Amino acid sequence: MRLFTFYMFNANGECMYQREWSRERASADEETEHKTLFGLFFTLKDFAKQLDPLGGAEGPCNFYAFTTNNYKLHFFETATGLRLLLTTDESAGDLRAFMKHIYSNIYIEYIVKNAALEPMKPFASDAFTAALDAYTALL
Amino acid sequence: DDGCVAAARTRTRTNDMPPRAPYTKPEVLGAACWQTMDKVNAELFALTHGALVRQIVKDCEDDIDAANAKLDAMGYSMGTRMIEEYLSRTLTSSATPGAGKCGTFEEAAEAVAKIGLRMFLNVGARCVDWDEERTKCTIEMDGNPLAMFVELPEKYGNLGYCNALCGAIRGALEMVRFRVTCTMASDPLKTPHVPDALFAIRMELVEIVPEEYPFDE
Repeated sequence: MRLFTFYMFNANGECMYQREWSRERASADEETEHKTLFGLFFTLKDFAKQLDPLGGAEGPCNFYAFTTNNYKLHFFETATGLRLLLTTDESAGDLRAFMKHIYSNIYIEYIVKNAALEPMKPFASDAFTAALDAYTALL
Repeated sequence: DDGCVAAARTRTRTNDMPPRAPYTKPEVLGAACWQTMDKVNAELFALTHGALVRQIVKDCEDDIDAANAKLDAMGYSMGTRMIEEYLSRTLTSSATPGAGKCGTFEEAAEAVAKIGLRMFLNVGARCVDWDEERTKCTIEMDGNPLAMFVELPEKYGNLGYCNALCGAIRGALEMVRFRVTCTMASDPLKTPHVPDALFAIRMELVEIVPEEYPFDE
């Protein structure tokens, strides 16, 4: 399974972090791309909730991925408004546990617990990138 | 008791997840999370905090109001980070009210009392004295490891020794869209002559910040 890109957004729509392992299409204006990605997640979450045929009877509706013929896009959101987005090739299964691991064991350990970094702000951290690469290499 | 409190570590460490369960009582979840936390000696923690408070008072040149504000700000900064750890550890038990997203202030207050305080400080607590609209309550704590060995001298009688705790709760809740005020309703450090006094935090909801699309278009 190939991983393409990874983004983290805060509740204000700022892109806190991004990582590209392989992507063939060059990105357009980065700022526009970030806004588009953020808006996409925001809107799809709402749509999914509205279109839920069970009407929320089985609990809250949580949108977590969409698949196209070329790639799969995975979402993970926390109550603090932190959003993780990951694109992989379409052979990926359910990566919710994987996303949760990135949140709990990499983001929290390297960024949240780092007193020098302000929470929910864009960050650059070699240690985080190294840990992320090491974990994703396991897939 | 094993005399330990939870500690933050800055090195990588495997996150031991609490046992997966469709629904567990908040108290049980809190205790389970406590088991998985990294711990530090409670006495070391209390003494370190005491030294920190002493240093802050000295830096503020005995201006107690400034010291109180500083302690609250410090706590706030810690709380904004602790919330992520809280969410991370409670997410597996998603059916328990308070794990993950809280819908109402009532859920959030119960989560702070039953899960949060147990998880980070290993103290049992409960919400009492609710008002009619369920927007204000008092969290009564069974003990407070921060206040171990502490006696406030007379000239520091107004020192909010536990302000960091109030600040932390406020900071954590603000990150999940609950704007609250937190004050010590009952502080046995300030009233040492009252027997069997408990630590209690008065928490009042100011507003639930609505989720808004941040861009204009």
